[in-house]
Amino acid sequence: MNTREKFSAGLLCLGLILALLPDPANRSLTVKPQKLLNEVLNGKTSYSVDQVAGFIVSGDSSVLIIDLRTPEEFRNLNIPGSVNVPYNVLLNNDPAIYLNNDKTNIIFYSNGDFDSDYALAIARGMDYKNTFVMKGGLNEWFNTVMNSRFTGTRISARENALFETRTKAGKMFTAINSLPDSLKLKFIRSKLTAAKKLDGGCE
Amino acid sequence: MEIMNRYKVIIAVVLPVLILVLFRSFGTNHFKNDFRKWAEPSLTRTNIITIEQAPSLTGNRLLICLDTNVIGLTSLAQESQNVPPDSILTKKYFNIIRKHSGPVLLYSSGNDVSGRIWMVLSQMGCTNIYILTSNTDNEVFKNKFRPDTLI
Amino acid sequence: MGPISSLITMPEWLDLLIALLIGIGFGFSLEQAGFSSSRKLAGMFYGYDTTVIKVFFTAAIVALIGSQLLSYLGLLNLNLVFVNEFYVAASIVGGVIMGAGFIMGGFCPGTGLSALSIGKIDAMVFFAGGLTGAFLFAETYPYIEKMANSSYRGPVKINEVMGISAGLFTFLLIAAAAVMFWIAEAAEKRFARPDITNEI
Repeated sequence: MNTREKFSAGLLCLGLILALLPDPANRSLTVKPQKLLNEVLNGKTSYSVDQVAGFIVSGDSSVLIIDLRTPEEFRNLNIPGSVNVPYNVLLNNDPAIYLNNDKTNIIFYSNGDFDSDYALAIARGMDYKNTFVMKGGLNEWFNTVMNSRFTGTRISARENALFETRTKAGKMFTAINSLPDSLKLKFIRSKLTAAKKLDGGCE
Repeated sequence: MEIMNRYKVIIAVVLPVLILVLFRSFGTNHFKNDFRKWAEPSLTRTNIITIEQAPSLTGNRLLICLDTNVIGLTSLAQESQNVPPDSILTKKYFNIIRKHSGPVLLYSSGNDVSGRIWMVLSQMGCTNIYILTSNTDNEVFKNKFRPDTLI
Repeated sequence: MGPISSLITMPEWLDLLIALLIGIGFGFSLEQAGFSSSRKLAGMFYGYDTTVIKVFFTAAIVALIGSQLLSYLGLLNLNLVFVNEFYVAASIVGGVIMGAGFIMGGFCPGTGLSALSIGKIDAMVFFAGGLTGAFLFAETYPYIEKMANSSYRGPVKINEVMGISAGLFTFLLIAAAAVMFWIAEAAEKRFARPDITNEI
């Protein structure tokens, strides 16, 4: 066998090995497993409902809230300013479409904890470091923010500030979600356009 | 021997590649391809099991306790193991989970820890793993919204 | 530098330095393979010298095998690698223009640069022509925009269209290449031109 034939045979063998491998087009998470584990167990990946209420009240544009529930649930109730990306849509499409935005912090929420935690693990596993969850989800939002009541005779400054934020956020939530469906849809769409404008650059 | 000598260059290139590929295929310290496939049970919610439903799982159940608050749960499984969450990927604990033949139940007092660990373990190719929880309706909206009709 | 930067974090200047060294290596190997000779390059189309197809096809196959192996071993994220967007009409028209230019000029852009670097006057003129062509394209773009952007297919890969895995496609391509090289060798014997040498 001369050099060329040996070279060709070598290439054919390597090609044969490749032909037998599973298709690498199916993505896997890129971050190393232990690193992902450390990140998802880190308390810094969760925001409390009070912190999210604070973002909404202050109109913080560096935060993008993603609602992982179904479109029907989102239409019925949603946190003001949030965008609906159902969990199955996030998973079945390329998550990069929704997460590839290093200018904003993305906060996932669902009714409870599970879906937002799954989404966080996937997002962080794909090395999107600016992803977080709202701990407790919409259920916790209602328990803490919507049903916020003050009992007692004296209130500290800190408690007062917290109560104020909760009340304001609760009012915003009620206002948005009390709109008739047609107006609600318009509001949601205008928020989407505003968010896209913030992004700047090309699509 | 004669053949090996003649084709030593080809063997010198192809053999290391083959070994590397085999290591990678059967290795356990990286995430498996196709994250959607491994995340599938989270979509269908078949990865969550309540304390009442746990005894119905067939096979030798292994309970992984991710924190110490597990009074009364060890009876749900034939075997149990306390594992600090951040050590679950160490060889010792990961092999226990990976090599276990029956269902593995993950329990933590906060659903967030078990949910996130479930995803990490699943993405590494572990199957037959469940999140043990006290209720299945974590993702059900439990409140009543009273719209402001004056708007 | 995908494979290396996935193992260690590199400063940007090191990335660029590696790119520079790779470029130097590329130019060096083009020159030493004789690709600064326009006779050798044009020989591809007349059949008397098929070195071009053998070298470039081999390079493509080695890159294909290497990138897929690195991707499988987790050292390279193929989803980050740019895939050209396919415009059917533009590809055909551009291919015709490029092919005609290749035969007439005896250079393609890469080999033209390597000939330019050794001071060949025809390469300098070829390059001036290339830059003029690019300028004309930009200036006449409003008129050809429609054609240039028509029949858009997106960043498709052949194996996706064929419905097979990338690895299998690689193997088939290697087999096709082996057949093509055999045909090329036969053509060289058939269309031999001993009067055309590779002496500059």
